[in-house]
Amino acid sequence: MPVEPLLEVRNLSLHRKDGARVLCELNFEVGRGEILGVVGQSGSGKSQLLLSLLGLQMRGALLSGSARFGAQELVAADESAWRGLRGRQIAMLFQDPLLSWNPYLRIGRQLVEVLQEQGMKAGDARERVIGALADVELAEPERLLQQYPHELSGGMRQRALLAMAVLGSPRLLLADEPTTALDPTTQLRVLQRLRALSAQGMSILLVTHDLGVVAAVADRVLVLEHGVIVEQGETTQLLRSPVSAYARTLLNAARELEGLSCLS
Amino acid sequence: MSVVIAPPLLEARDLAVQVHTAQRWGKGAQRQLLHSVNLSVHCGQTLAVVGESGAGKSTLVRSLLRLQRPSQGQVLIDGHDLAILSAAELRAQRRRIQIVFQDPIASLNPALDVLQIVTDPLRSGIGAIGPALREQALAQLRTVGLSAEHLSRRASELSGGQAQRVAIARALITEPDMLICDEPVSALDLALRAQVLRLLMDLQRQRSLALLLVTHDLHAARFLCARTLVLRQGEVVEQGATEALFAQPAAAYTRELLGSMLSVDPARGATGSIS
Repeated sequence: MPVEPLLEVRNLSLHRKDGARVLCELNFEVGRGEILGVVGQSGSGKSQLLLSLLGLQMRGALLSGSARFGAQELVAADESAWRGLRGRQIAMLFQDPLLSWNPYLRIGRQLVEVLQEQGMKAGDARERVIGALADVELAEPERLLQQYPHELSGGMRQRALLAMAVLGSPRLLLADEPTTALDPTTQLRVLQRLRALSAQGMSILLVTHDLGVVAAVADRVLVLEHGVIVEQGETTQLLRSPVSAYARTLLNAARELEGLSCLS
Repeated sequence: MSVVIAPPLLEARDLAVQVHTAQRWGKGAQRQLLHSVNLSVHCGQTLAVVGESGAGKSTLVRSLLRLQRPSQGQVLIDGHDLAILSAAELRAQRRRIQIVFQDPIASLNPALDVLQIVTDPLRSGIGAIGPALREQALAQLRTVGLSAEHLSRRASELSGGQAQRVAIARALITEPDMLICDEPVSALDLALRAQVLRLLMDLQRQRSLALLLVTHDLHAARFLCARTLVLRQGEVVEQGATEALFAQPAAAYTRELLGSMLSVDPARGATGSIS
């Protein structure tokens, strides 16, 4: 149990407009500087959970329960509260790096804009952006600022996107399969950066299918199945003796590929 | 080690591919996608080609199948140069070397049912399907773990794992000597990957198929292949026995690649270099 929870979720449920249940009575917390892995099959509600924490749940859907982010109750937050939270306090890193960029604007313009919105002068903002790109190990950041998203490789786009997501120094980063589309060496760099950010105190909710990613960076894991948390616990513990059927199947498939013995 | 007298089933000698890239003002530029690649696969052997995006893996596959003209070098099947075969000879050779593509749904014709898809290579898309052919299709479906109920389905009615099994059955129906698999499991759910790779391993052993696996997943390469070739920016970085290459990589790039492997065992993998 984290000492100082940044996000405390209690009995959080999400029902679609037609009454169908998407998330059911979720209870969990994320500590300051903690990386919480969220694992589950497609359709288990992982992405809906992240979107709900940004107030971006499906139109007409009903969110109930409580999600306390510091002193702010997210479930009851109005638009003006969300404007202060999104991007500044809670940021999102999407899976597909190409869809997240505006194809018409240069990388530099899109990054600098984030800081200018927050009242920073253009010159200072540019300097910060160059630093942020260097932090994700992108070479020649000055040149990168002049380029359009399509001119970058997938791995570069995803790393630049990570740089953008954390420009406003959010306290909570929601990352939806951020390394699924990446090559192994690029994936490692992104994971290293996430680790470094959490060491600086940023909390991260990391949605993934890949238990290798979980093993590498997550402090704790929760397993979601049909919108219900079927298991949560410390990463090492869960990877040694998973309780839920889904985690067990996924783990044994990965273990077989690695040439490790399967868990009984 | 025994002396191999027969020529390799598939061999690339000094293979290079250069393409023209269109540029805005009419002038094209040359771009080298592969630089003098040498590889060989004998009957019953397994070779993994590993590399990251842009390494030239798919270009290599395309040129091995003569879907892409090499700018230099040769591709030999049983010692015969693929480039100078007549159309009829090429058709016969293509039956011997079949391919399984990355995206299982996209590689199946959406207008056909599974029976038509699986028998397609034997009737070139036009011949009638008699009872004998139906039996053959069914036999292939069974070897990949599907059954008669799947014969009448269409690609859109199959899960990703089932679709990839159908693609494998289609490849097997010509009784090939070799399968080329281009990222056969990367589009599948992680839990399904092990299943399909195990199927490929069983088939390879039972039929002593030669297998060329193209992948960016080093776990898959080690799981399935006795030899591994590392490709980077169109060049062969190193190749050799998989176990030796994983235990003692010679090239710095191979070390970097192996160092980025993640493991679900907290005591292994790249975990140490992260935290």
